[in-house]
Amino acid sequence: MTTDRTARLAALHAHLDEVLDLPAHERDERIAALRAADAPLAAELERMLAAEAGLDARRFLEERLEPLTSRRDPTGQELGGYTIERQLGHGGMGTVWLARRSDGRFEGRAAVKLLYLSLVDPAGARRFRREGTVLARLSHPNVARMLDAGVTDGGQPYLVLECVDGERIDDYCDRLRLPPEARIRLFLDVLAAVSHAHANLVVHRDIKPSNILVTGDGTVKLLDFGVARLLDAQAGPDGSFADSGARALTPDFAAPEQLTGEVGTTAIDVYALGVLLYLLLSGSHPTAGSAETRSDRFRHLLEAEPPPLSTAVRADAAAARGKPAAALGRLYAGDLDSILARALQKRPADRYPGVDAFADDLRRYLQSEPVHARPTTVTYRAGRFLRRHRASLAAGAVAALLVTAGATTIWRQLLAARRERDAAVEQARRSDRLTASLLLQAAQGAAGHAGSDRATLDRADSLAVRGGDAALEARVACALAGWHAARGDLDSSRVELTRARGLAAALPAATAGEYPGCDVPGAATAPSAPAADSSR
Amino acid sequence: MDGAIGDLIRTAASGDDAAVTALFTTLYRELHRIAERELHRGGSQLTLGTTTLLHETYLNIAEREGIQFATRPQFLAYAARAMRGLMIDYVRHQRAQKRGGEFHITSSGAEAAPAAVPAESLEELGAAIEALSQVNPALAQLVDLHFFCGFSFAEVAELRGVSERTVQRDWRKARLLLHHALAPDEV
Repeated sequence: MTTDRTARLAALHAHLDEVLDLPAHERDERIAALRAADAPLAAELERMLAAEAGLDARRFLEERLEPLTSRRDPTGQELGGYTIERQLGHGGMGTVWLARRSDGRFEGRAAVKLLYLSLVDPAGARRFRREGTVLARLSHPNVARMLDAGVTDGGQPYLVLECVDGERIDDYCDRLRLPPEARIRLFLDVLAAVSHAHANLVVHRDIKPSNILVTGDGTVKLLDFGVARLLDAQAGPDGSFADSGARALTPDFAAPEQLTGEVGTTAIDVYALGVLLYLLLSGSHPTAGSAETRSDRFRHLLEAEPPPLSTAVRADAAAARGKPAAALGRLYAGDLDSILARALQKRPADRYPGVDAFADDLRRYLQSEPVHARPTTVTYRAGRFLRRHRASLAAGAVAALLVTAGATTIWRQLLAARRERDAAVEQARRSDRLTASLLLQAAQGAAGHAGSDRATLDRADSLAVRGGDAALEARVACALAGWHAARGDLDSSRVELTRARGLAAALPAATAGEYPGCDVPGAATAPSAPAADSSR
Repeated sequence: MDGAIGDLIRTAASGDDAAVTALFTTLYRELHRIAERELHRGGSQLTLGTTTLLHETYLNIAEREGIQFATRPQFLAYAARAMRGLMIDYVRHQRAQKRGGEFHITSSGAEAAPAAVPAESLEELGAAIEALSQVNPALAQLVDLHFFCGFSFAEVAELRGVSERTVQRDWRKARLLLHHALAPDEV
């Protein structure tokens, strides 16, 4: 009987692939051909396929089996001052529950996330709590607050988050048929939230529409800030940072460098935000391809240049944006094309140096001022100027302006361009410094000197040098000294320590006072390491 | 450096039936042990979904035996099969006990009522999956991971390094074949 069944299944399986995707009439033809050769099998195949519609209706195998004991139900449990009321949903990271303040003093609801145990290492519980406290300090009207993070006595890691009653940003925009300008204004609120987090050294790393809700009164709320970081706090003692980063990653919104396993920086958020804006404005994904396998998809993400926004507007998406696709294309051509192209650059260094620069350009676009993402040419600037003042300029005045756009105008524009360039350089250096300090934190965070990752430290080092921050460079040098010492390479350790001391000595006295000393156990106790002794 | 289970996974992958059986038994025991422990750890009322159970089993074994991350897909595939066995046994046990065992089958939807899954039909389903695994092991594994262990299609796609579309197509095939195997004469 079993072998019977198996043999029949095998025969059916062999034909299933051929007919499954065929349109009805071709499927019938194929089955008719099979009938000539093996009538009973053809009949069986037909019966099997005919049942498909019924399977959906009966939800055959659709309800997942999930054994839940009634005792296991967390309803009524108290976590971080909140009592769990009912389940809201479940996702890739865990289950989400609605909770209410236990003390009843305030009218307050919260969402409690119970993370899957496999995502966190129980040994890292203390660190999890500490990181949670850092994130709880993020306070911005557009960031859903993390109220508490911890681990229960039973070892279950949990997050208590501000409960946001809202709609996904893309659904919200489409439902209200928001025109492009309104979408950009909403997106600027998203940028404000991310900027606040970056200023507090928190990178989101998983920005996507389902993490951005719009509430009934039109307020944008970013969810899950720092959750990726909390999971990173659990990174293994081998400093497997890239691996844990990949875990929290949503491939469609991941920056190329995330896919190649590089460490998370603010540039990752800039990229994901670019993908988001591209989607909001055009309705399509910048690197959407027909790639079948994951590696194809990754390669596509790494190599394919996104088509200009103005060419990506889907006809069916245009209606929800209040204009025909062709009109949207014309609107997007030019500045918005350049802005999106800049945000979606493959190389992090080619993107906007930070979300503020991104926001600045979008604001300039909305005000018809020249955007930075475009090469500055006189005709372009004049074009912007004309557009901005179109209403107030009589035709004659325009003609006069064009004639007198002589030496002084060009000189002034050169000066402006130089100022902008200097500002951009300074912004890039600031971003380098921020990245370097994040890297240093990441490298040291996991398990002290011994566990820190050499490649991460090297990258932090070169960014600290490029960012021109001697104090930071000194701290990186200390970390490198520790890395070498932990591996018994005391000569290299001493070289780094000497560099650190030299840098520290050159710092202004006030800064040097705060300068954290090198804590390098191996080097300090080694008799042949006098440099380490004197740094104590 | 893999321990005993890592060795078993490798031997099993090369088609050694004895290794497959040994692996299955070990994983079944481990799943059972963790499930029991969770159930009897009084006081802390926490969900114990199959997904959590599976992940935790993986973590336990990986930690204890130093299993390489690369063998995780194979590990989870075998463990999912063990989970299927565990679930079916629990339902059978529940029926034998009359008053109901400790596991309680509900649908995973937050609001949906518990799905009525009679023990007999679950056993039959298990037999049909066994038959399917003879024909196409990957399809049977997909059912184990998705239906019995609560893995989403996206998670399975991630695990297998294929697109979600491929997984959805496989699911369509698996569902058709299983339904047919369960009710071949029904129109």
